[in-house]
Amino acid sequence: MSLTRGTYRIADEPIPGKLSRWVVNPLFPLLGGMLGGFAAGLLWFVVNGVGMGSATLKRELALVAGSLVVLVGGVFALGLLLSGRQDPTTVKLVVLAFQLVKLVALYALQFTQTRSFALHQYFGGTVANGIPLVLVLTIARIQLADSVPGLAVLVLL
Amino acid sequence: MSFVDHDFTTVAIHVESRLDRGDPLGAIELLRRFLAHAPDHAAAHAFLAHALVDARRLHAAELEEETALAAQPELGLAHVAMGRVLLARRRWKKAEEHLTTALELDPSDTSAYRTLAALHVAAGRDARAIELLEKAREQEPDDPALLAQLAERHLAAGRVGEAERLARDSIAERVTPAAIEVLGHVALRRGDTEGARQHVAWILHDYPMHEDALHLLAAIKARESWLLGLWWRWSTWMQGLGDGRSIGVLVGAFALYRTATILMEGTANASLIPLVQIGWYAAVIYTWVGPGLFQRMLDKELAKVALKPEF
Repeated sequence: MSLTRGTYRIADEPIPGKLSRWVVNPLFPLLGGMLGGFAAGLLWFVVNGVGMGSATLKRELALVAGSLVVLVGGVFALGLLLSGRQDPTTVKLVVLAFQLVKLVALYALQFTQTRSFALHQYFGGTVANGIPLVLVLTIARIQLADSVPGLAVLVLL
Repeated sequence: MSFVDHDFTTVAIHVESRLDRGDPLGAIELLRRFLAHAPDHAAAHAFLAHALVDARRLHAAELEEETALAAQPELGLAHVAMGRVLLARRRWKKAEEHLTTALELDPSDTSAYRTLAALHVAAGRDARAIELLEKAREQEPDDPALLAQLAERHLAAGRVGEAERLARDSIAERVTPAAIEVLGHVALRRGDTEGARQHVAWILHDYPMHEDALHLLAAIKARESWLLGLWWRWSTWMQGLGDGRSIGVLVGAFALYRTATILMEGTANASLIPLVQIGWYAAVIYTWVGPGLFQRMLDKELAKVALKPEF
């Protein structure tokens, strides 16, 4: 709790940062992560959270870090599990497992940030349009997909 | 009584009124202004926690509770509020501990009984919940919130007549959305759809911001049309899911879809893949479009509902 300018501030109320004019509805970083690549989505969520002074920023950062650790760990485990076994169905199921981890992380970030976003709006914070950046990230992903090394694709895209 | 405490008593009356009307944001604003002048007032922090729980701001509610309990560990109101926070977070054991403490501090605290009963309902122990509510009724036989909650339990157990009687007793003391909702469901059980709709109008007339109207409306739609009712039940259910379960539903659906299509490739069932894909895309479109569509249908439905003068 704190007293700010003679009013009482409740713990989860946002303290907007310098990036506050770039705050978007958390739905857009979610879309950005799905269409433009996982790493891009994560980065966007972090910037969005900082911008709106999210009260759950620590939790969001932990989710970002945790998901990356799980995915990188998964890549190492993959090398051990798949040695010599590369039938198409197994490979597709493994790729699906990575996709599911990313989806869980992206949705968890979106749900977590949505509450802070609602408060950001309630307290008159500006909300930018996220569609242009989603389009840019989608196009960038299509253009750059081939230049990302093999297993890094599983973590970054 | 100090000046601050006297001032708080006045504030508390207004806060309770706002919370009863389903306006936690209004309650929060009142308490915010009070706490600006008396930031160490434990009861105000406890009340703020209650309002924050109603506004579903659990993280902030928990922090306010910790402040209240740190300042005054034997404040029953604070223990009840903490019980509500922990109940919302599904931490049953800790919730029960705080509520039991609240009852030890004040055995006549009906709010503690009511919250404990809600905990038992959540844990599937309906009989125990009714037992607690009846015990609370011995202390406060005319508590309208208690009577309404008891009516809900009897309705859930199929005792429609008993539920109706208790709901009417509750309304005779003070009109609450919970009691009106019970009467609406009673009307629906008896096949009186129009009567049920009037109860929706009644809730909205007196409590424009209350959610109980939504539950009753979903039940009415279900009664009118199987398909439409399915849509309303599904949408109401999706809206009521917590974060974890929502993610589970969304990601689980994707996992099922992709696993099915991967396993079907190259088999005799490969021709079914387009059908599975259509089903999946329909589900995706629903998740993006559905909530907005549901809200528009709800707004349209609520605009149609008007309280008849003779009701």
